[in-house]
Amino acid sequence: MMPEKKIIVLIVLLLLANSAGASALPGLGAICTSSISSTNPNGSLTSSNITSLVTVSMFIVLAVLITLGILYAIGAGFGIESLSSFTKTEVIESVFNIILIGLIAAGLANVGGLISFVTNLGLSGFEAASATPVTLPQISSSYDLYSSLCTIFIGKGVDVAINNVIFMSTQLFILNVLKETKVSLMPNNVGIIFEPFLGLDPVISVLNNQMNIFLGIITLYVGLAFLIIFIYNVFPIFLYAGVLLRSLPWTRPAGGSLLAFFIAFYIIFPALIYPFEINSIGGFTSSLLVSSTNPLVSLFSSISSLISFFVASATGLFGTAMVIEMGGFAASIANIGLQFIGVVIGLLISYDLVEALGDLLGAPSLHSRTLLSKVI
Amino acid sequence: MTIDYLLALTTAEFLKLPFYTTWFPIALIAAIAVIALLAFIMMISAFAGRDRVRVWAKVKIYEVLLSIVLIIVFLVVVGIVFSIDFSSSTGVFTSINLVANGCVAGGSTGTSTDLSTLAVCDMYYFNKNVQTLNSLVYYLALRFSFVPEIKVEYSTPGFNGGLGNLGVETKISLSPAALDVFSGYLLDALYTAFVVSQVQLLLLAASLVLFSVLMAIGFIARIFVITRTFGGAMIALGIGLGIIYPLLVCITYGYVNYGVQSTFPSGAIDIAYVSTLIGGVTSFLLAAIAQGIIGSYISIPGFVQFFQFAGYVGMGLVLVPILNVLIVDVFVIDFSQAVGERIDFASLLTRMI
Repeated sequence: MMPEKKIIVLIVLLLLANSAGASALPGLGAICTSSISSTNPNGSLTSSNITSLVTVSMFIVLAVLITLGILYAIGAGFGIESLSSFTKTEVIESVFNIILIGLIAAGLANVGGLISFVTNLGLSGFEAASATPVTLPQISSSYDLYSSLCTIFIGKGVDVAINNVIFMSTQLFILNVLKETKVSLMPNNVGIIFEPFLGLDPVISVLNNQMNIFLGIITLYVGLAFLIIFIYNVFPIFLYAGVLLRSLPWTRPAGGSLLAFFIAFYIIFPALIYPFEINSIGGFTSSLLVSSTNPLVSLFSSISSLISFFVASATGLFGTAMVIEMGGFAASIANIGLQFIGVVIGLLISYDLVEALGDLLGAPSLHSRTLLSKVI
Repeated sequence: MTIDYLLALTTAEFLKLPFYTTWFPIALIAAIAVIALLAFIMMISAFAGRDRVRVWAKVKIYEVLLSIVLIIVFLVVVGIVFSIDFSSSTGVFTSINLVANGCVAGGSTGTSTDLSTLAVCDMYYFNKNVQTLNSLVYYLALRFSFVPEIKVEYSTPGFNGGLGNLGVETKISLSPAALDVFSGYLLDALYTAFVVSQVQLLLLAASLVLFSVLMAIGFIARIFVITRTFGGAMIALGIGLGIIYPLLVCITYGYVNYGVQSTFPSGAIDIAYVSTLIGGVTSFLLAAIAQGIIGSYISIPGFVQFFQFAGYVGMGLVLVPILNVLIVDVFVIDFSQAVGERIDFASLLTRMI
């Protein structure tokens, strides 16, 4: 088992202890509500902060423009062609900076509007493509989108997967106890020891396999939830820091990179993955003998289910139970697969966009093809 | 390694250090010497009627003059950057919730309010958070390893010549047996990730020295015609490691540390917390045995906080370093291309590793 899974195993054991028997994990959704604030993107950027940053950026750009004017005069006066052409290029960059600063001064609410526009565009495509008419909830701000994604990942992804894991743990507990049960018939210390449930090994193996897959799913969704939280809270700061750094010619590539990451990952990435997530998440129906509507049952209920299971196997209905189980499990994993494809598509497009924006914003080395290979 | 040791070279001291300030006169003297030499070449070429040499010398004189302008601009910019208040109670980053309590200047650790000090402090406290997570995992795994396996056995009493020793036995494992093995791998993963964080901390602690040395080499080298491109590359690397990287660390790890602090407002992430958490788990296990119902609901205090804490720390160990290194690398590549020779330190590092 991979180390990541082992971390999750430990966490899941804690979750098992904490939440077995409950209809939902206590307060796990609080992670989203406490980490994603509706007031503003990082819960702390106030209008005075933004105004200060914009003002400082504008001052820097103006100082750069004045310096460029002096340099251009020197270049023209002394006939230094390279200096003149350099200043012309830099003037264009500074004008571009002023436009960017103007856009930011117009308020981050506009970014929220842009995000909702892109997301709703994707949703309308899904609605149109659905075989049966569906109406998906519309997004009206960046908070709506990020909050919704986080809630989906934690509330419907992690929670549901953990519930499955919890119930499978209970089942494994029971099955292992049964498997270890021995009946001894040894009058005068001579006789036989009978192990009636040793044949449960294949069932235990299936459950273990499913549990590993659900642990992987939990890892995926925990990672995605915190990725969304991080982007929502930190990337708006990249926007302002990017504009500030871009104002100076020396730090333009860093500023351009920050802006490219902001646009590609704050605006585009969540909007791209949202239709995939909302369309297919929460479809876990797996685990042997588990009801898809109420996977959490008590030990006694589970034992009664197990008795039914053995009755079924004894009367030749065992195969039917397995077929149902396989169908439910496959459907669950197919849902996960679709969501995973959505995330991969989102990442690919966002990385490509980072490359294109990097060229535009003064960071031409921001190549998506080589980005990760450098550091991994 | 204490934070006092890491912060020994604070910005205030750094700005006073001889090796930081002495290279400015050296660079200026070198520039004047080079200009004098070029002027001499220009004069000779004018006498000799070699116009191409004269034009070349003229362009080079302009370039040296530009280097002097760059040094002056650099002095002004560095002065401004290191005088900005980032981490006091009214600092730039404090006001947008990017400074955890331990790093607010004037507190127990932070003495300066500049970028470098804050970056070192942020990284230091993040590493402490990693260690805390490590402790949590270790103690939990240790505690689980003490959960007993129960063997239940019943047999009828035996009689001489009669029917006896008929019985049933079974084993009950309250925690999965594989947990002991898993915990080893788990601790390995955390230890490995912690090494990366520790390297970042040392890099940040050395960033002021690196900044000073690289900028000195860069500006002096840039004055000479032959080493001009090399000088540009050094300047790019110096700014990348000395300003851009600490800035990104302050933003990203500042957020992570603040998130952890929000998770534990009292800051009491210690063994007492671990005991509470473990106590909850034990209560659950005992209750499970007593009631015979696995599905009984026993609350473990602080479990959600643990989950959130692990999420923040995991993000700081995996996502944040990649993001920071990428942006610094892009800056160094593009800026070094603009002012001198292209340098790609991330690729170089990857090849070396």
